[in-house]
Amino acid sequence: MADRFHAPIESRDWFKKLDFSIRMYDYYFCLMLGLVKKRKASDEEMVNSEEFVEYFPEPFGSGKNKIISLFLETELSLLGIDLSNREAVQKILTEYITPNSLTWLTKKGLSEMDKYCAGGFEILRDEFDDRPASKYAFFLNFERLITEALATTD
Amino acid sequence: MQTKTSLKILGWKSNNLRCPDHSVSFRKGEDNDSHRISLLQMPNGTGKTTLWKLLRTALSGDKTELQDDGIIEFKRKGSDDDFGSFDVSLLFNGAMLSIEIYFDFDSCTVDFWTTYSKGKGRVQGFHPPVEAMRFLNNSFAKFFIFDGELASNFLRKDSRKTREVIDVISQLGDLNNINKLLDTYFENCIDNCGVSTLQGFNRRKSAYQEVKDTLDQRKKELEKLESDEKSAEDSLDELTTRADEYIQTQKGIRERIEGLEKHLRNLDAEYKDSENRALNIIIQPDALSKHFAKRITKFCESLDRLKLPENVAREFFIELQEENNCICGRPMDKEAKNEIKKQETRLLGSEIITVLNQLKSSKLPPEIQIFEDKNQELKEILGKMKENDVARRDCSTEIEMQKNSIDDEDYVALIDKKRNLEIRIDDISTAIDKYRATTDSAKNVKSTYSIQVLEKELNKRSKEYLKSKEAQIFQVKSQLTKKLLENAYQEAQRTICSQITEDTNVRIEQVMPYNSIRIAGIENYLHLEGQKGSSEGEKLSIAYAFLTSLFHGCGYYLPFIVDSPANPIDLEKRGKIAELVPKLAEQFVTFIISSERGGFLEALEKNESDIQYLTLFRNNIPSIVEKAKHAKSYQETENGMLVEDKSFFWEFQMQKEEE
Repeated sequence: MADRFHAPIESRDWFKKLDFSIRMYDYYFCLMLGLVKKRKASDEEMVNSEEFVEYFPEPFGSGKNKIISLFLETELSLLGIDLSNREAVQKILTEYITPNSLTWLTKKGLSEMDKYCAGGFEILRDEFDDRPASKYAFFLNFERLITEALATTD
Repeated sequence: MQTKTSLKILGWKSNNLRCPDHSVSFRKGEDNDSHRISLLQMPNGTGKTTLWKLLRTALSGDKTELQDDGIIEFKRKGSDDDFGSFDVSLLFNGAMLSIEIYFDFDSCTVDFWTTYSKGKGRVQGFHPPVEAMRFLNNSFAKFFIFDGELASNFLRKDSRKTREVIDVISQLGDLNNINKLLDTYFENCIDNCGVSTLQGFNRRKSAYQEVKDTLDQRKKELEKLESDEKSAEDSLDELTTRADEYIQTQKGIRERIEGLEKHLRNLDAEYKDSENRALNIIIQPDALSKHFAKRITKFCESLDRLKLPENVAREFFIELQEENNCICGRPMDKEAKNEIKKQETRLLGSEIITVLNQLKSSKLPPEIQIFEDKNQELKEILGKMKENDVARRDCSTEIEMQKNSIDDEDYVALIDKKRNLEIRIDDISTAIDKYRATTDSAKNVKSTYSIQVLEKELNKRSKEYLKSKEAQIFQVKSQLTKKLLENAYQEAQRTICSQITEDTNVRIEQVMPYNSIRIAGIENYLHLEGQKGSSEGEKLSIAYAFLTSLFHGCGYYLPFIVDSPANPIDLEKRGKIAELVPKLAEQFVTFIISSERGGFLEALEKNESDIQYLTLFRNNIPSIVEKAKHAKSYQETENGMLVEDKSFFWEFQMQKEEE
């Protein structure tokens, strides 16, 4: 069976009122926050995750190369691998990338990406006082969180 | 029908040890049959004790006795050779079995080597076949390599030797082994489920029941809430219809409300459109932030700099190795293949190259105008959504105000009712959310509302409960089985002991007809009838009578090896013991000194014709050596002689010859 994306079980309730058409939206918002803050959940924390889909559904399919590139750039940085170290970069690429998966990610690659998603969800929970009631309120706060986080990392 | 288990000693060979070098064979003729009785006469100082210890070690696999004495003590005096060996040849159920004790006097170590004709050849260590291990072990070997001290132990109240030998011979000990297996299995069950007591099991049961009861209750509550919600919604629909119908009768208000509702629908449509446009921008990381755009580009550019992926795929080199010549024209020899193989592992496969090239296509143009445009657009959309949100709320409020401006008493009452119902539906909906939530922060089961969480917990606890239930059922079954085994053990032992007591008493009467000693019964020891003490000779006679009865009834053909079988026995009783000896076992091997012959050998010869007469001595007295050389059969080594001859045996008197 193909490997699937995993998102925190709790995120399902958290995003409930926003009523996005597919669960991948919830995953994406969490993932971006995890990537921007380089925050990953531990293996133990991943126990509370649930699987949902084994590919990048539309409208994410066409931009999956950007999402994966951003993920790999973040992961290499978190692992302390210099982008000029050919051998180390190639090793990670071989470990994380495969053409034999709909996501282009190996089991290991997907599992590491899921950890950023779970880490990002923690940030959402911490930063939002209440669960967002409207998409407008959520977008506004999400964009603010991303901007603030990037301002502090640069 | 079960075949009887048979063990015979065919002989042994000793080399460079304290006893004279010799090789003794108990074989009768060419085949593997052995003499019924083999008498090995060894004068004092020939190393009889050494030989006895070697034999017991070889047949028990326990080298403690050798190590306690000090390995070097077993070395032949004056020898320069650092190695020694003692090799016993056995016949087990018709197959050859050899146990060798190998001494390394330089490192003061001793090792076993085992050769079994049905096994894997000569292997290091003590590895007789499993069926033989029942006898060839430290606790049992002493029953057939008979130690005189054991005779006393059979009669001692504080010793369990009698019970031990009966358990082993009759295999009653196996019942205890089954008990141990049951205990081990139960311990494994407990390790798996973590519950060992009834209290623990009850705790698991209560824990399971607690979740089950709570879950049942929550499901009922949810059902009730859903039913209430449905009923409230139906009522609300009815009130809304009635309110709308009433408004239809109020022309001016109706027109105003219709206008507002149309405006609200337009605002909703605009809001939805903005929402979709915002979402389409947000889901592009490079549009969401210019920092993301830079990071993606940086990653792709670094792949370019690293020349990843390469222009050549690994497959090219794999195929190249199969060619006769390299592309440079040189023959594809082993060295070239190895070099190419080394390079090949550094390359990526063609499929992954495709993926990497697609990833690299996410690199953005150097100018960041696209991001600026998108980000500006996102900000504008969000600003518009904010305005739209305010306008929608204002419009909704205006509609409500228009509706509330009607001052008809009935209508006001209807609207009040409707408002109360809406509040109630909101409350019910909030309550239902708790039941349908996927998580729950409650600290205990009873205050948990999430059905999903409770179901998960129930699943976990039911597994624990079932495991402990299985363990509990097994415990009850194993206790019953153990009780049955215990009863079977008691009953079998009572029957066996009773039979052995009877047989032993018959034999004691044969050996000591004028003595009133009899066994009253067998407990952990041989319980003598009305007698508090007995002489060493009497103890030995009783032990022989007991072991004879036991071996006879057991179905095992084991050898019986005794050191000085008649020594502590009065001369007049030796004859009776000698009558008993041929009945003791299929093969009887005894170490004897010349002074023991009297009163014993004559009676033995009367009762058994198949007797082998062996004499082993050091070859340091020329007159005896000379006499030995006239014997029927002899072998001489550097430090000893082994003579097989009845006349020589009878006439052998070392002490007198020395004088």
